[in-house]
Amino acid sequence: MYRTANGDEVFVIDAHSHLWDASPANQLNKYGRGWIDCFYAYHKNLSPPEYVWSLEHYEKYSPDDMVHDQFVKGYVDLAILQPTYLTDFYKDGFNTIEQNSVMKKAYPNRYILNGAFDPRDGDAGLDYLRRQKGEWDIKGVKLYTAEWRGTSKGYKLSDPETYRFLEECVKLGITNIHVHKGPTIYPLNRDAFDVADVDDAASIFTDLNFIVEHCGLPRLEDFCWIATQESNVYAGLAVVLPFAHPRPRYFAEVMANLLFWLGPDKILFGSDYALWEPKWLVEKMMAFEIPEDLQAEFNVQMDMETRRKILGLNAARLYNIDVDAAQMSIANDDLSKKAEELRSQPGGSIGSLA
Amino acid sequence: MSIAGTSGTEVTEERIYEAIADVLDPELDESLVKLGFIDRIEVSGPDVTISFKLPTYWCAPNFAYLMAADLRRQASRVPGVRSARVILLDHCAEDEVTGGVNRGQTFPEAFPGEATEDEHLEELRRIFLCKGFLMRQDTLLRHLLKSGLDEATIAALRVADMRIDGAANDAIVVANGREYRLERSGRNASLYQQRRVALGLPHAASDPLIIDDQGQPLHTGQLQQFLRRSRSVRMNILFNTSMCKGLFRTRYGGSSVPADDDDL
Repeated sequence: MYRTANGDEVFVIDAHSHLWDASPANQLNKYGRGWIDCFYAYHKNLSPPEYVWSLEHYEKYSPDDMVHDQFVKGYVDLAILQPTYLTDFYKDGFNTIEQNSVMKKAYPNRYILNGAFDPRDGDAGLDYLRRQKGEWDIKGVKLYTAEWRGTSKGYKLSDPETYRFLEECVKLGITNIHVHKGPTIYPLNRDAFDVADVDDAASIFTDLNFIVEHCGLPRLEDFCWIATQESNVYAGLAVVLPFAHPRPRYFAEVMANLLFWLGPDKILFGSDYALWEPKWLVEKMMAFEIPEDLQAEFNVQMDMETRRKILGLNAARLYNIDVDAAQMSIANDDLSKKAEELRSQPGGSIGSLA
Repeated sequence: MSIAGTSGTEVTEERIYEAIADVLDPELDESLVKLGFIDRIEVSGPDVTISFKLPTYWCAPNFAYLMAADLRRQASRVPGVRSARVILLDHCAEDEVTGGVNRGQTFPEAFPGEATEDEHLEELRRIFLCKGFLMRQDTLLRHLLKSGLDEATIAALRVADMRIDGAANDAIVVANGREYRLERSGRNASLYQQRRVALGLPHAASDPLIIDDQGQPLHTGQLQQFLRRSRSVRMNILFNTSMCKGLFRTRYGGSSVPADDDDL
């Protein structure tokens, strides 16, 4: 819950977070090392200095750390746990649904647990998807199309095998497909971040929602073209929002573009924790104003309604969350109390990072 | 054939730097040298080794391969060079890229079973040259508009109506019976022309100065739409450039990027 200077309350859903284990003990090979080092560079490059963690902590943090950073410190009301398997790089996986489920079990009213599938797993993969639905009643999955699997360096959303799985999602009522494009992808000679397959899948599966994480960066303008045409394509703001710290002007340009091409109803806040901490990200989002010249050129607004939508209401709509009911169920829990305590301390209040 | 000490075909680090000055990171439409990605150039008589680094361990192998192959090709063309080797450092596919490029292999040969068609990555190169072209054009167009030219005048400009004042780094455009000096736009204008040629787009003196990526001229009323798209492309490239530079600096020393002036 973010409270403004004049007492307005903003409901916050962190639509993208992880509880990962990238410790050396869990790294399977040099790729596991390279992976977390790369994440750490993103973290360090874009975080304000007081929010930079040590590499050791970054490799493996605890459930308590996560809960504190999101719900006590971070203004977050509800968070979505998005798995990333990477079993070719990590012995037990980077953060699987099983690993993430620990958080869901401990704080059922605070977390939404998402699953995953990999079309290369064939029939066994379909079974696994059904089991995830059976056990956790998942409403969404996160797909990592660039994930390595043996000799395969990735897959496309538009592959026939993927369509089998998406059909299964429609049957099972798993309506939110979070897509993360990544570094390498098959075939390797193609542009690794080509987002055209999202377009293909979204136009066929009109009952599903496709949330493209980090707005398809580095193919932002291609993503905007697609998202403007497909009513079921959304943008996840992770990786984009942190830019508000080192490069506010660039961030403003990107936001103006997103609001122009997608509109305020199709953008979702997500911290991608622990890539970045939600506290300063939410503060940036609340403080952000579109420069006048961009307002004029794109004719877009960043008003309170837009902030509310991006920070929570859009995700609530996609996940059928009754915001009032959710607020009531967490209003007096342990975490809310701790958050209030923190807020009432000097320096623990809002707006410290305008 | 050169002998060390004869300046004619002596291979020097300087000459190699000059030769590779225009090798681009295709995604950023910027020279690797300017980006600081060249780690070291070693010259040993007629043999050259170029080491380079990228912003992340995971930078896409196809782009890395293009860069490595281009570096090797440009260095090989320097008079006196007998062999040019490229080494990619700190990368998930460093062995395949380094090995493949130095053996003169195509991308699919270096990554058997993992690549399809577009053997020489020319389609990839084209896509990004095109983005670079649009970015450069966007800057040029905005500069023209800011200088007071209207849409009709801009649409009527020919290639011959623009020249570059290299010394001042200005572009000069002739229209409405006078000259317009676009200050500090010389390099951009020059790169605009270069990308145009590299894409095989019409570039004769009498061709329109402003054309789309298919070679079609700008029609009246189209400018806003044109600009919207080209601005999107430019903004994305600059955003990516900022991201990559920052990651590179974080990876190889130096703190996160200070907020200096943006080029937008």
